[in-house]
Amino acid sequence: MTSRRETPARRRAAIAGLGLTELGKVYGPSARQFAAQAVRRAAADAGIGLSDIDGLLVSAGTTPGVDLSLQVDLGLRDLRLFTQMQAFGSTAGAMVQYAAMAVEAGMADTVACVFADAPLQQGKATGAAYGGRRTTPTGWGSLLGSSGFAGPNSFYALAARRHMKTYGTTSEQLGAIAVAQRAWAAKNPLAQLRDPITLADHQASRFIAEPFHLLDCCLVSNGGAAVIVTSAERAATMAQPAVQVLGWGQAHPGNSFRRNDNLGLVSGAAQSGPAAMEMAGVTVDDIDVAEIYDCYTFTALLTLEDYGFCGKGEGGEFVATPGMLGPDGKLAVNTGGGQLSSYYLWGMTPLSEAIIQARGQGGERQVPKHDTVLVSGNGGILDHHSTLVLGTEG
Amino acid sequence: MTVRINPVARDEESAAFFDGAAVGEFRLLRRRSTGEYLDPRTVPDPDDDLEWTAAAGTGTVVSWSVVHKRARDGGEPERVVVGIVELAEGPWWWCRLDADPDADLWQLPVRAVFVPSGPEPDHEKVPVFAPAEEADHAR
Repeated sequence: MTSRRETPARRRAAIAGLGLTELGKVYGPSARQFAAQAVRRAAADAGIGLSDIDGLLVSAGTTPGVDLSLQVDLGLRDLRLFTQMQAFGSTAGAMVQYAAMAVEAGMADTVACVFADAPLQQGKATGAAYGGRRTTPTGWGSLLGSSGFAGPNSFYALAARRHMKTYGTTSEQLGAIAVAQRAWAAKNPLAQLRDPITLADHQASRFIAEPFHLLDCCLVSNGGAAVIVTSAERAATMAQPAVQVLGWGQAHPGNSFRRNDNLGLVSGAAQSGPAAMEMAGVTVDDIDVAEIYDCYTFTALLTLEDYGFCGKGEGGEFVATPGMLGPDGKLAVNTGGGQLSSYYLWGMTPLSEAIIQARGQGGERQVPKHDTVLVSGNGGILDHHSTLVLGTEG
Repeated sequence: MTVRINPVARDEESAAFFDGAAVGEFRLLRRRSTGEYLDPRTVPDPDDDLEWTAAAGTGTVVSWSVVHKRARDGGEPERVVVGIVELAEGPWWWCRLDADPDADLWQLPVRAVFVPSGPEPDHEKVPVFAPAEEADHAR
């Protein structure tokens, strides 16, 4: 593992720009257009021109078109680093990691990392956003759907149920996460859902796939997000407070779902989290703000456990402890409302809020102490994990 | 049988499995050299010595979820029980459960029953797992 001490501070990677398009039920632009807009906005945010970009990492959600065509859409010439990446919800964190390595190795100076998706269509129900693809009901690929499974909702529900039965985690404890994040979202002008909710609202919301209620599940959003990664030295000359990339890690446990494994009990976060914190020279006690991937309430709970904020199996009790989560809580988690309440841009949701908080630009929701920020990414069915430690002190 | 499975047709990779299902056998792959049981969906290495074998068709519930399918007419949603079964031979199988949606199914012993997935000749029988006692009673 790279020791931060061996990398001269001026060459250490930093995030110098953040670009967000309009987010949520935004109709008209294609995902490809959102991607280009996000990169332009990120460059403008950093105070640089598009021609300063010499590296580009592209990542698509469910909508086609976000691919290598982006270079020509943006008119970028003579890139030194350019590829499309896919590790589902862990991609955003992973893009920053590869960009940081490229910058520190001198392969590229200024790398844009972008994600965009546009699954929502005007006039169609949110629930239909990911359901439009019909496969021929043939062979292995058709068995789950034909048997009644309903995609990630049911897969994550199985993972959550196993945790609940193994450790005694309850639906009300999961609800504590949803309620706390909505309270944060109420202070976030970027958030799609800002009306406060109670635990009773969570319990009364309709079931999607038991044990998950509607309010256990993330939003669906259209939009794009991009970040600019460069050296700390260069970032210091740009328009925004530099956010240093202090540590990183990935973990891909390889759970097959075909034999007993850690599904629902332990995720890759248990490996990538400690690795990223060790690289940054910090522990969970040093984390001021945690932006945790929350495609479901349960994902956030499991990740907090795996990162070591509480013991294994104690996540339910931990998140439901009065005064732990939420805007006045002891632990600042998902301060923008997360994917449950703000917007759903895969790993860009926690990453973007982490950058906003680290810079001190969170407005009404700004956390007073924000020197060390932990970011998680999660993809597949708890299959892929990326962790970043960001900071404002080198 | 009350559960309804949507139509599934075979392809080359799944043919041997559905041949088994048609005659009431839950088939797994087994590595001849070691006796290890493998998921029927395992993509074989050409160097592997795999053979199809009939499993016991029994197991226990590892986890379950009740999926709520909204009714088109706005009425009560259909509640569909799905789950993961650890087969007696070791592999996990994700499947429909023919079980009470309000029951605690944790570690429940279950047995495979084979349900036609549709009326057409190419609509295969699909294994559904039901509480072992009830399934035994129905045999």
